[in-house]
Amino acid sequence: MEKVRQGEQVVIKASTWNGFVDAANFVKEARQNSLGAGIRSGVGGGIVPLKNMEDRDYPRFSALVITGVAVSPSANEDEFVSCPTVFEGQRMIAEREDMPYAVLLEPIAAHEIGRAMLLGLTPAKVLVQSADDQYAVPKANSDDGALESSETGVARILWKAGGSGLQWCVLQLGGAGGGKADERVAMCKVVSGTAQSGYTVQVYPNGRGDEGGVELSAVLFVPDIALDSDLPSGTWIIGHKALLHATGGNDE
Amino acid sequence: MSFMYVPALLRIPEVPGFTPPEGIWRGVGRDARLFAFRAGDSRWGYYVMTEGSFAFSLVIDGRELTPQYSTINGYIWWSGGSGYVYNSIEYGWVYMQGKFPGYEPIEENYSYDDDTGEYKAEGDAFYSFTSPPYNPDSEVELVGRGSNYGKEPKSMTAKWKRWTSNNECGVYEAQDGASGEKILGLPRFRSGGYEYFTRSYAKVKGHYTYGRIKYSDTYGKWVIGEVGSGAGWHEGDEPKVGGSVTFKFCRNEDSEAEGSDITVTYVNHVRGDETTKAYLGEVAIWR
Repeated sequence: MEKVRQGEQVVIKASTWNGFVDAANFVKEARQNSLGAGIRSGVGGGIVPLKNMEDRDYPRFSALVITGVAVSPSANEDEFVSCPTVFEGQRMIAEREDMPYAVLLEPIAAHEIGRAMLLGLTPAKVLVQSADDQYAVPKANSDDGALESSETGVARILWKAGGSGLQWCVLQLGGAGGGKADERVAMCKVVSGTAQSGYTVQVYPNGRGDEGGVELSAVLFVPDIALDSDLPSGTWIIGHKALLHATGGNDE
Repeated sequence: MSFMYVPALLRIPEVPGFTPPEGIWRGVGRDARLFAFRAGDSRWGYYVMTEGSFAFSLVIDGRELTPQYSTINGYIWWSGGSGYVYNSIEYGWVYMQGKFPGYEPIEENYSYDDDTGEYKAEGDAFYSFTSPPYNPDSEVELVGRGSNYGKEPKSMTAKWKRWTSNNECGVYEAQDGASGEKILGLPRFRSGGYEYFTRSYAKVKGHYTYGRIKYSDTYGKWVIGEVGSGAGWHEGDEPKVGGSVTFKFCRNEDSEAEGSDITVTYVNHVRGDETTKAYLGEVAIWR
């Protein structure tokens, strides 16, 4: 395209005219985006595009943890506000336990993008560990994005067949947070053990006065005690639930 | 049977020449009482596994004095029979018998014996030295003090029943009176196609899994894939440490699927990335 002088005859080629139209459309679209087109384009909805960041494929109705977005505002602000946010998903591990997650609505191949549900209702297979569990969480270290039941969480089990074991459930994702009180800290009563071997304890999530209530048997280590000073059985201790790295030993 | 990594420091008083690690592997089940940690250098072994001890023992006159983890003047102390090694305020490191550890020994009335040409002193019978042995091969001289002043010095060595390894995971070799070997980690196998198969931490329905290698309860076989799958599957045996196992390609009778056998071979032991729940207790120091 060349500019013309004042008074000069203008002959407009079709390609030039089309260029003008494209430019006008671009400006119009950009104006719409600045007025909230991002919302219309998908941001805010419960179904989101999700990029599988793992090296393996994940099946439909498996769960991946939201670990980031494919395009951040710092990388491209215009694209971030204009286009549907593509989330990055990785498998659940201990370090991601408190991070949000989505259930895949279609199989997503390694490093590919597919649809996933972040908010809303979806069926999913859940390993129900206790018939009383009301919530579902991604199972840590699962290679196939499996879900397991939990007493707390953000995905409420609206329906399940009943009993325990792997079964289809209907999940309400997001906005359902709750469950029992924070059980990361609980009163523990020493049953047996030593400072060197660790202790077997009974856990009383509802407090020391709840003897006869819920009791869990658990392993407890005391990091700050002298190695040759054992706690007698019956001792009450404040226990902090922790996910500890575990590995194999002398069992072969 | 297995180990859990406790990231917090198991606090013990200062051990001369040894820095306790900031996290330790603690054995559970059959491995209860075993600790594994990074000792930091080659003196005691880069990685050390011990049974109920967090520091070395001392040997004097053939008697072993074992470490005690409460503090005397900021340091651990050692005990064996009626003999104790501890840090005193006046004389630094001392060895003495028959007195409760922490007792401040007395040395007084220095004199010179003209007949023998030796210096003498009176007081408690004890020995002093600069510092406990710094490594398994070193020997420390104990100098007579108090009523032992001028007597023949004693020698002290260190002993630590332990298993050591240059790597965190794998086989730990016995040292200083320990026997057999110990293992930390999950066995890892590899196929010719460089796919890794790491054993699971726990058994499910009585069997471990090895990545894609699983035991099929339905068919009573170790398989890769799903038996009866139109794309075929592989059948073999449970992988064993140190060995190889070949998984034969199988397909349905009416299937034209093609595939080749997969041989998986033991490579090494690794930490893996599994976690398990436990409680960390919060108590006041208990002495």
